[in-house]
Amino acid sequence: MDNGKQQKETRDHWHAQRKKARKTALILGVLALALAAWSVFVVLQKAAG
Amino acid sequence: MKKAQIKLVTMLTALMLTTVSSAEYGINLRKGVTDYSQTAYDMHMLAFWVCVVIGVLVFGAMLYSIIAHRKSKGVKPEQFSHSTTAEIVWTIIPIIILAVMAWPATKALIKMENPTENGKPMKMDMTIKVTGYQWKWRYDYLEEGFGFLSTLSKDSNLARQINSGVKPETVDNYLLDVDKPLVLPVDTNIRFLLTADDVIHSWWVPDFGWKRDAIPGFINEAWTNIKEPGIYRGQCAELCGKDHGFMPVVVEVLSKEDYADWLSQQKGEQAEEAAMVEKTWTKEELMARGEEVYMQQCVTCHQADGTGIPPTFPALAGSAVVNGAAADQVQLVLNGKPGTAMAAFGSLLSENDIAAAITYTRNSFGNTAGGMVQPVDVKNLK
Amino acid sequence: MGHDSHDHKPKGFVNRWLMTTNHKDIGTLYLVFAFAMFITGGAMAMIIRLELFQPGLQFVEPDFFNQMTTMHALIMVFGAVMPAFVGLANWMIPMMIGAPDMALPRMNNWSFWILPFAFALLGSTLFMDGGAPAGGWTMYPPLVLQGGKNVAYLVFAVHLMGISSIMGAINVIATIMNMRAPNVGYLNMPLFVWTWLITAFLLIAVMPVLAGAVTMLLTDRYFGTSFFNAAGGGDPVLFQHIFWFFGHPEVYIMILPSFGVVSEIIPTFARKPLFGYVSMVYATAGIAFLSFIVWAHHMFSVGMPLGGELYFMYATMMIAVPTGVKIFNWVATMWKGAMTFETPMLFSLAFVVLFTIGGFSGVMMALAPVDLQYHDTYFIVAHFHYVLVPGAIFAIIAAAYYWLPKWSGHMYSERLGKIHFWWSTISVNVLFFPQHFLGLAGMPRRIPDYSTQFAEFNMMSSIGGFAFGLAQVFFIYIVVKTVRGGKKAEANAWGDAKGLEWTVPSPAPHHTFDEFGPVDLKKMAHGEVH
Repeated sequence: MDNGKQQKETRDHWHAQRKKARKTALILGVLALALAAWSVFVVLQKAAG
Repeated sequence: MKKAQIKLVTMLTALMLTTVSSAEYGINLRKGVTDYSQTAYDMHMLAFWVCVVIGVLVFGAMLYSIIAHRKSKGVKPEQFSHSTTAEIVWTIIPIIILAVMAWPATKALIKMENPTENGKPMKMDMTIKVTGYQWKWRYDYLEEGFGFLSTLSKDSNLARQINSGVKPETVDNYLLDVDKPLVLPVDTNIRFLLTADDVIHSWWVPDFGWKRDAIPGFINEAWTNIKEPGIYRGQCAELCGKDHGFMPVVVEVLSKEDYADWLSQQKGEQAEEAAMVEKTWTKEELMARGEEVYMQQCVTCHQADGTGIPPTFPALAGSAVVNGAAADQVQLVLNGKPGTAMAAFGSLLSENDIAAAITYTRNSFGNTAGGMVQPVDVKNLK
Repeated sequence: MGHDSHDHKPKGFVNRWLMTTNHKDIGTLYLVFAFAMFITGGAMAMIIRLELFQPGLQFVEPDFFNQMTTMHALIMVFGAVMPAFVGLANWMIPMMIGAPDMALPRMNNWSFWILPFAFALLGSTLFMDGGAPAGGWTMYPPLVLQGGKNVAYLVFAVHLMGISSIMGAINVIATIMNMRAPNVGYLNMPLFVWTWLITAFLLIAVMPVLAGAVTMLLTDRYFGTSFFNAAGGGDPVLFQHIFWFFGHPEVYIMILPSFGVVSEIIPTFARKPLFGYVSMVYATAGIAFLSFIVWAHHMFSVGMPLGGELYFMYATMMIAVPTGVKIFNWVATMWKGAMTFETPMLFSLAFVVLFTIGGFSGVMMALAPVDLQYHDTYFIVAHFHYVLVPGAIFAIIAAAYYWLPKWSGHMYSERLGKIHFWWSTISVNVLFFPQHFLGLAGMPRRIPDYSTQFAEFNMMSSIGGFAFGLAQVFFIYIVVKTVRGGKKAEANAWGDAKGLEWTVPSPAPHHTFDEFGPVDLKKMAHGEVH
């Protein structure tokens, strides 16, 4: 296999994986924020009840 | 049979421990003087011996392996990497051991939290309300309608100041002594109601076998029944600020007769104290009593020379409040300052104590306010 | 982009370190930072042990003592142990799974460089009027709210640490899920990678909860809310519930990666595959799951209903089962191997024994009726220091010796390493073992002065403490000496160690596994076992 082609394949592969990784990160980030909000919500609910 | 085993194990340990430890310092949990503390002790020893046996087996296997299976002996390493049987065995066996320990633990916990007598909820003979303050305890005898503060004894307090020059070894019961202990009768079901005024404290006498948090705004419950007269010492167990290490719990347990005598004597003193509110005190009387109260109740924060520990604990020397109108200072002492260690002393000390302490601060530390505050003035402002 | 410039490290301090997006350099930054914090927190521990050397107050006022206990804990937990493991993760995870770098290199830079600011913020309170936070690392209200302005600094510092850890954890998960070499499946991954994957999920689940809790402290202190103020209808105990909902998983965040490290090292030096790889993975996951449902065992004395106490007692006792599986598996890994005892192995063996001792006292404390005695005494101080110092920190030290040849290209001096090991192991036991006795005899924790009956064991403990502290200064010397020179390390520094990290040269080049393609599974520790 010629070198240039393999380099391009490698680059394309990691590029695609990094793109997926950003999606993973985004989901996890939203999850984290939701959990922070949830912890405050739990206390508020207890205070109201 | 299980009980006999526990007894045997306990006896063996006791034998072991007495040989390695002098009476001066313990290295094991105390058996204590209540039924519950004995239960906790048995539980502790059971868990301890279970751990010892497992430890001997696991560490023994490890040690054997370290000695026998080393490269320097020219052994060829085996290459096995799992054994379903072994893995099942060492999952199941711990579960069984845990279940065996969980059974007595459950019974013990029920004894603490839901005490019963002949199948009915246990009847409590008396109730003590314990209130934690920074850094003292207040004990109220709810049925008798009186109570008092209990703070670190003066000897200990003097010796524990940084570079005090007093050797702790020369002080009796260093840090474990108070001016006025909680007095309780023996062989009596005593209910405790625990709360706090400022931050969370925890009331603990190891010989009774439990500690329980005293939480501001909430009332916790616990109980005990002490089997032997004596003096039992403990400490606050929940970090509560600068003098957390200096608010001991001391309980003096008397026979029922002695307790009755003590009770009537206390009631007499309370009545005497109440009568003294109405009389007009001389300045000397107020100053003498004031110094005594100040050195017991106020000194940890405001310091003996009235300089305080700013910014947390303000100075009284030159303070605007102390040098201002007497009524304002009385109000402050009566109602305290929420969110700080300054408690509302109106419910803690007698009018006599408050008037005397205020008079003392207004005439000391270079303060120029002068004059006297009479107990009756305090009473009128309450 | 990075892969244009294969082995050329960026020139200049700012480009190389401040702007770095390279997982190895960021790993180094994390490890150096963690070590600096370890020494700082250790210095505070020395002040604590100095004051406790004998009864009476000789050196510091009680309030300063409380500042020391509080800061020591915060710095050790958030500044030393956690960043050290993130540093190890940065260095090793990409190399262990055949990835060229972390999945999100720029975020990686950010999550590290937040940390110095967080700790500058926290440390600055020491020089303020009123001093540093003194309410304990548990930050229980109402006490913590009595701190003057340090409350705001504390809260914002915790926020920053939380953001840093969450970003670090996100990066670890994103890397493991997306960046594995094409033929590396989840059950081929080294156990260190597995434990970190699970740890990262724990971090994402609980750090936000801590952030929420401290934010409520902030508004209670400055904006007149009453989340935790009983007088305003709030509940101070609720803070404890939320704190420990974070706090219990947090202790596993500090120990699971240690399990991973030890599970890499023992097979290498026993020359035998890890016993029960799959059950190790399941046990880790089981411990992580249980960590979410046992939090209130830190609170048996707050006055919970009987049912609650029983539930938390049973659930807590269950943790002994998966933890036991791990310990038995390590012993079975050694069994019939051909062991040698280089420094990383020694620290790992000490880890297994001493962590187990910490586990034993853990089982004892799970028993609620006796915990009413143990709670808040030196017994628990002994317990958590056993699992954190000869536990987590020994694992970090073992990891440092194990991978130092890979990082630096040099072998450390085995003789000095062994001195460091014996010195640390003996002193750490002199330091912490007597604390069991102190706790049982009735000495509460977090007190600057004590009754004379506790004098002997405190003195012993302090002497152990000073010796242990000195041993870690010696460790700096060993590491610096190794980095600067020494016997050249082979690619496979331990001869026949398994793991992809040993297939690249030592020191590891700036960029590894840049080429996309399958890796040789035979070279992985668990690549072919299943």
